[in-house]
Amino acid sequence: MTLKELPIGKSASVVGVGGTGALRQHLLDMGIVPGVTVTMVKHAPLGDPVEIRVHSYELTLRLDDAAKIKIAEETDEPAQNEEEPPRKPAAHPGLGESGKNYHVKADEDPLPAGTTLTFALAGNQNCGKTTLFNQLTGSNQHVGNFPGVTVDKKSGPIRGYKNTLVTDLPGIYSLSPYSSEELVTRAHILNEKPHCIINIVDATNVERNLYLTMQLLELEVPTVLALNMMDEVRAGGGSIDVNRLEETLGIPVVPISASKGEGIRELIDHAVHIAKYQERPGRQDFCDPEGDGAPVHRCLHGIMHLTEDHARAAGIPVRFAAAKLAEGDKEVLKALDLDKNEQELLEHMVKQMETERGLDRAAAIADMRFAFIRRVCRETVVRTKESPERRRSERIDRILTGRFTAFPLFVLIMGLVFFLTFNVIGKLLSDALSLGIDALGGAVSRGLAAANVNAALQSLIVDGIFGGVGSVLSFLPTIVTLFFFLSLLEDTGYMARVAFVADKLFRKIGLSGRSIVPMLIGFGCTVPGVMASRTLPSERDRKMTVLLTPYMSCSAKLPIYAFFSAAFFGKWAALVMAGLYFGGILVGILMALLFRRLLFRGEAVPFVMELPNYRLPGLKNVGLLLWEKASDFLRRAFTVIFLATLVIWFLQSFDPRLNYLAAEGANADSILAKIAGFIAPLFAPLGFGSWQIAVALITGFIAKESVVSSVTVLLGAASVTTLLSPLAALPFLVFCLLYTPCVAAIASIRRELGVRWATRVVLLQCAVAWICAGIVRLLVLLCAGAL
Amino acid sequence: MAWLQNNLSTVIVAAVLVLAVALALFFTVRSRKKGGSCSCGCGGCPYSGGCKKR
Repeated sequence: MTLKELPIGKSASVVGVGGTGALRQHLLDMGIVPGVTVTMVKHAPLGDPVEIRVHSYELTLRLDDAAKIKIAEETDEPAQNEEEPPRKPAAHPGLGESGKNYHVKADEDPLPAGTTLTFALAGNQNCGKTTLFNQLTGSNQHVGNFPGVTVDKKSGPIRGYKNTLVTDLPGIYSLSPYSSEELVTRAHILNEKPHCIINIVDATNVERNLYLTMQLLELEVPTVLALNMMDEVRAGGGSIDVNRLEETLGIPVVPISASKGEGIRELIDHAVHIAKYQERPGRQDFCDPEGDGAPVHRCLHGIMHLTEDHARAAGIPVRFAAAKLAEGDKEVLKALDLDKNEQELLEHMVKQMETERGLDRAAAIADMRFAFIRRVCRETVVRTKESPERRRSERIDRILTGRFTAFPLFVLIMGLVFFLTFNVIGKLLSDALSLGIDALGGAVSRGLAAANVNAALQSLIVDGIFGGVGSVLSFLPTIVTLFFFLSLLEDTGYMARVAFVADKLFRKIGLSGRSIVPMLIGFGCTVPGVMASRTLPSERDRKMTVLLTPYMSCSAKLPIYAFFSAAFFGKWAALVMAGLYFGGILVGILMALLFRRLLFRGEAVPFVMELPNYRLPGLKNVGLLLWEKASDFLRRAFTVIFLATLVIWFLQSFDPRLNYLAAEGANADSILAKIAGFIAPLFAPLGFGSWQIAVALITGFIAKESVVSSVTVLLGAASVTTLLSPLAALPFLVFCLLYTPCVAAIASIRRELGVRWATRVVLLQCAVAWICAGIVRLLVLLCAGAL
Repeated sequence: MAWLQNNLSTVIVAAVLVLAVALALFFTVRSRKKGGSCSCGCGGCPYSGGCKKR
C-alpha cells in the first residue's frame, strides 16, 4: 500500500520511501522516514496535491510523489509520537555563560580582543529567522508567511555590539547539496567559518527542526539554539525542558519569541560568549551503538577513522564528512580526494551497513538522526495535542481550501483585490498623483517659458521628462496598493493555500502551483509579476513563469482596449475587452505548452511544501515591503525610464539631419516617424500600416498607455476611424495585447533572466502578436465576406 | 559674455539636466556592476547560488 491510497483522516506507518535523487532526499529530510506515522489530512479541491500530517506539522505533496511512499496498514490513530511524560527537571548546565559549573572547555580557544565576531543565522524555512535577524540587527528585511521568502544571505551588526556581524541564511531543512539555498548555507558555514551559528528552531515543531540542528552540530562550529515561538507553545499548554535539552545537545538553548522580542537579550549574551570563547558543541555523535541503529554507528565511526586525515586536510569536520560520505554526498567525496582503495573500502562499509540495517544509505542516516531526535523529544518536550493557531488554521482551511468553496472564494478574494486596486484605492491615488504631476508639469512649463529657456529644452523637460517619467510614475500608487493587498494575503498564509489549490491546474501546463502568484500579479502589472517569480524554487519554473507573465494582460493596456473598443465596437465593447483578457490567457497557455515541448522539457518541481499556520500580518512588515517596492520603482523611474524617455524625445523632436522640429507631437519628418515609416509596412498585412499607428506602437514600448496618447496627439481633431478601418481594429487590439511588454517590464525581465532572455521575449512576443493579429485579421475578413 | 547673460536660464536648466542624466547613468551603471538592479541585491535572486559573480 502507498501513501497515495491512504484515506482522509487515516494514519499509517511509513515502510519505505521510493524514488531517487533530490526529491527522495528532501522527503527523508522532511521527516518521512521508515517507521514514522503519517496522517492524510485532506486532498486539494481537484484531488491533487494532498496534505499530510507528519511530526506534528502539515506537508503538501503530489499524489505521484505520495505513490512512492510505501506504508503499512492504516489505522485511525492520528500521527503523533507517543511521548512519555517528562522526567524531573534537570539542573541548568549553564552552557555559554560565565561562572557556571559546566563548560565545554576541552578545545576552548578564546579569540583575540577586537576580533569582529561573525554569526550565521540558520534554521528551517518559515521558522522566524528573518524576524529574529531584524530583532538582532534592527534592520528591516521583509518577512513572509510563505516558505522560502529568504533566498540568499543578508548581513548586519547586532544592535549595541560594535564588532559583530550576523548573516541571515536561507531557510533549509538539511545540509544536503540539492537546492541552491542548501548550498549557500553549507558553503557559508564551511568556507566563511562564522564564529558562531545561531540555530533558530520552531518550538512548536521541534522534531523536524532538530534534524538540521544535528547536522549543524557536526560542523563543530560554536552553536546556540534559539527556541523560537515559545509563546505559542506556552499558549497551547506545552513546555520544553530547556535545561535537559541543553545538556543532551551540549549547546546553550535559549527560549525566545522573535516576534515579541522575548529572550533576545539572553540569546545575544549566549551567542557572543560562545563566539568569543569558541565553545564548540559538546556533542557531535548521535548514533546509537546499540539496537537497530548499531550498524549505522559502526559504519559512521569506521568511515571517520578511514577518512580523518583527508577530512582534516580538506578543512571539513570529520563527523560531518563521515555522515555525508555515508549518505552518498558526491561533493564531499570529491573534496576529500580519497584514493581508490579508500573509496572501495568506504563503499564496502556502506554496503554492509545497508545490509545489516535493512535500509539504503540515505534512509539509514536519516533514520539514525530521527531516532536520536525522538529520544530527545521524549525526554524534553511536552506537546499540546493541538495549538490554538493550528485549530484556527484548520477551521479557516475548511472554507478556504474546501472542495466546493476554494475556487469561488479565490475568485472572490482576487476579484476584490483587483477591484479595490484598479477601481477604487489604487486608481484614486494614481489619478490624484497624475493630477499633481500634471499641475507640476504645467507650473514648470510656465516657469521655463517665463524664464525664456530655449524651446527645445522646454520641450525636453515638459514633453519628454514630465510626459514620459510622469506617466510611469502615476502608476506607483496602483503598484503599491496591489502589493499591499498581496502582502496581506502572503503574510496571513493564504498564498501558500492558493499554490496548494491551483497546483494541479498549473501542472497541466508544466508549472507548479507556486507560479500562480506572479501570474495573478501580472494582470495588474508585469513588472511586479516578474519580480514575484523570485520565490519560485527552480530555475526552470522561474524562467517559464517570467516568460508567461507578460501574456497576462496588464492594467496599462486597459486604456487602449477602452479607447478603441468604444470607438469601433459600440455596445459590444465590454465583450471585446473581456475577450482580449481571455485571449491573453489562452495564448499564454498555448505558449506554455510550446515552451514545455521545446524549451523547458521535464516536469515542474515537486510540490513538497509546508503549509504554515494562518497568522495576523504585521503592519510594520507590510509597511516595509511597500517601502521596498516603492523605492525600487522610483529608483527605476528616475534611472532607466528617465534615460529611455530622453532618447524617445530626441527621436521624436529631431529630423535625420538633427534639425529641431518645433511642432508638438509626432512629426512626419522626425527620426521616429522615419523609423516608424520603415516599420509601418510590416503592419500593412494586418490592416494598420500607417506610420502614425507604427509611432503609437513604438511609444507603447515605453509605456502602454502612450499608445492612446500618441494616437490622440497625431489625430488632433480627427476621429480614430480615419486612421483605422473597423476591420483592422480587432487585429490592432490583439497586436497591442500580445506585442512586446513595455520597457519597464523588459527591464525587469532583463534583471531576472539577463539581456539574452529579455531580447528573446521582445522578439518572440512581437512575432506571436503578428501571427495572432494576422489570424484574427483573416477571421474578421472572412466573417465580413471581404475575402 | 552677453550671450551667457541672455541665455543664463537655458544654461542653468541645461546644466541641471546634464547633472540629472549623469546621476541616472551613474546609478544605472553602479547597480549593474553590483550584479543587477535588484532592490534587495543578489538576495532576491534564486540563481545566486550558482551566480558567477559570487
